[in-house]
Amino acid sequence: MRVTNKMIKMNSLDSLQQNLNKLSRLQDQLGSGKNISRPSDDPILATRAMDLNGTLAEITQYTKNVDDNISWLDFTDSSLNDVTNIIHRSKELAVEGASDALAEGSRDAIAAEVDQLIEQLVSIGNSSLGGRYIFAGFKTKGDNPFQRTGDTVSYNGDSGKIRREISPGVEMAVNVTGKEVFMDSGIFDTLTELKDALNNADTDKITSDVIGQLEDSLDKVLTGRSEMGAKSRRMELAKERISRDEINFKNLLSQFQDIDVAEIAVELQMQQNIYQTALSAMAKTIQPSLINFLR
Amino acid sequence: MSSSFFGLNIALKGLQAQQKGMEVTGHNIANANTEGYSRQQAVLVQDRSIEIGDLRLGTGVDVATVRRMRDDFLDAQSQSNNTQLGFWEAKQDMLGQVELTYMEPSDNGLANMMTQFWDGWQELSKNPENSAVRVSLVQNANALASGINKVHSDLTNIVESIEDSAGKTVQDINTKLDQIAQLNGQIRSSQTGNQAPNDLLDKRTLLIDQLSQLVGIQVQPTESGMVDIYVGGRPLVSGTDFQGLTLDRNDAGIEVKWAGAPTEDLTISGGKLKGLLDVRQEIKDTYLNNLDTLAAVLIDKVNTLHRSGFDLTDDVDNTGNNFFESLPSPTPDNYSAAANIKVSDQILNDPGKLAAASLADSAGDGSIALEIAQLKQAAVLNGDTATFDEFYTDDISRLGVNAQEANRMVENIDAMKQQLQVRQEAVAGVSLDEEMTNLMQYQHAFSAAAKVVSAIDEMLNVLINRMG
Repeated sequence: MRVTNKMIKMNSLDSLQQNLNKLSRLQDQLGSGKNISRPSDDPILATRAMDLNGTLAEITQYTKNVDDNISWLDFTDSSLNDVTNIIHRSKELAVEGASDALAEGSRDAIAAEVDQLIEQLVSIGNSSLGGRYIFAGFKTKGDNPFQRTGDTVSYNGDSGKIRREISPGVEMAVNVTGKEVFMDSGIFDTLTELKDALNNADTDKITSDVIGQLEDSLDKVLTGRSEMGAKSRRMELAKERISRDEINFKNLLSQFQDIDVAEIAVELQMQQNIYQTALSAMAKTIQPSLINFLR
Repeated sequence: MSSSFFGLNIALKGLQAQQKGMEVTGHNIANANTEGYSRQQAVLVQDRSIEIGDLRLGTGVDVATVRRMRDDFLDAQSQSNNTQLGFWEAKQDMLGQVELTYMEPSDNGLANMMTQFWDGWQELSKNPENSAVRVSLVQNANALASGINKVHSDLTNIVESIEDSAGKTVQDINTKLDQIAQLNGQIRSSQTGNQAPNDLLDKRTLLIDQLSQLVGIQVQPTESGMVDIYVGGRPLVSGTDFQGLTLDRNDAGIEVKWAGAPTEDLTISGGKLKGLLDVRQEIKDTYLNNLDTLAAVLIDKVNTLHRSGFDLTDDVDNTGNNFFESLPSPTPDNYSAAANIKVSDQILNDPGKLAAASLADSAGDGSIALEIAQLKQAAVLNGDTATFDEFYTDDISRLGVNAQEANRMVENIDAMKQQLQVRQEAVAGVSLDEEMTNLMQYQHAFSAAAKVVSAIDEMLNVLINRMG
């Protein structure tokens, strides 16, 4: 085949271009740390990376949800713990007040303490987490859910169940309502009865009714607590699973989209060598022609 | 007995032939870097001999023709290769721009904005009474809406630039067709006997080569060295006549017509023009259309749920508000949901109007927000088979595959083009070494012929002056 000067020029330019293209791609990769910068680099990898990014974002969101639930559940649990302590204390006071051998005036003191316990229960019922009443159902804002006027305590909340998503499509109610804990258990009525009985020195009523009712209330609150506990454990498990998933997916995503820096750096070095060789070859072949050797 | 001066005549022919050879060589060297130039060669033939007595004596040399070194078969191959290259290059260029528009995969793409939008609803479902959460959701939603607007307007701009580019391509095609028709005329009038107008032929070949990259053509040689050029079966150049293409831009789209039959359809095959028309259609039918669908369904689904909810204000009747500005009903023909998606002003101004609750007067109820957040997982697109994410990722995947195909095709066809160019160059290219050698050869032959003249001169001198 005839070889002309232009042919050499064309070939050299072409291979220089190819070399430069490869160089620029490698430099892109090193600069961004990513295998792909646009979908056409590798459509399958690109969409897999997008899917995985989506999954990871979901995982992050559910982690937040679970953490929020855990703090809500823990706070509820500790409030319910206070409630059980108050009921225990009430029982002690009831047993004490039912004793016939009690000195004059002592029952009034006990009644005063029971009154304080009622106050305390109301304030537990009104406890709020991050500015939200936790025992008010959906009415988490505005007026206190529990209000005491004289000897009656009224509940202004509702029986709304706050449901949150903990994994795709799986919802869980995180709250117990004040109605369940305080109203259905009749704890306020029972304590008021106890106070009245103490004031009236009605020891029979205390032994026959009040103590039994207190035990019933305790049972109900404890049932609520164990439900909270079960949910809390469920959240801990969910959190463990999610963080395991998170590590797995992050690894997977990194395999898909992150470059192997050492490998790319070596390739870049090689490519640079090839480029330089091509340049010097070009300089040598382009220059001389017969003209250089004719007089 | 031959004449005394017969030898002088032979020497003269030798001098003239070698001189012509040097001129052709000079022409070759001068055009060594001219695009489309084909190497020329002076074809020397021995002149006819004459009979003198018993002998047949040669009468010297003659330049029979100046030959154009060119492989027509390679030219034809190169044209069809160019047509493919023009087609795929146009696609590669435009799809590359579409890829830049989407910015995927990255944190700046719509995929990530959608994720943040849904996460905003999740957070609202957990903290419906929190105004910071409300504000952040509205910001995320606003970012998503503007993101969709931006992708839409970018894609629309690309479509417009493709239409402009198609218009310029048509002008370019017409200019080249005109030049080819004119060259046809010049070639016809300068073609005499077997003396071809080499340089005009080169010019025309180059024009046809460039034209074939713009649009798929058939080249048909006719009488007197002219060629006819067909596009889609229509004779755009017929001898010295030419009728060009026109580009109709109307509401329905753009159409290429032939001036010779302006009412009939013209089938364009291959070339940059076809690539531009195809990629324009692909962007409109697929990417723009799907973006509109995505936006419309998003607006509809979110609004439907949002209307059933209650906001933070105490007003019990406060339902029925849209989250996004509602779609016009009935939807006008050229209405674009993607261009118009926008968070409603009411909510932008007062995030308290976000309806997260399913019941009135229930600040802590986030069930509607949760239902909206769960739309993320709902198959509501493609005939209820795809989620928003899947629908969008499908488009990116399609775009990636198409752009990758275009890149690969351009790479392959370009390699083929290099091959063809090298092979044509092997036939038609000027080699300076070769020309220098030829030059020396002609130079020496010229000197030798001159030597013959002076030898005969001396002989005649002896004959005329020294005798008698």
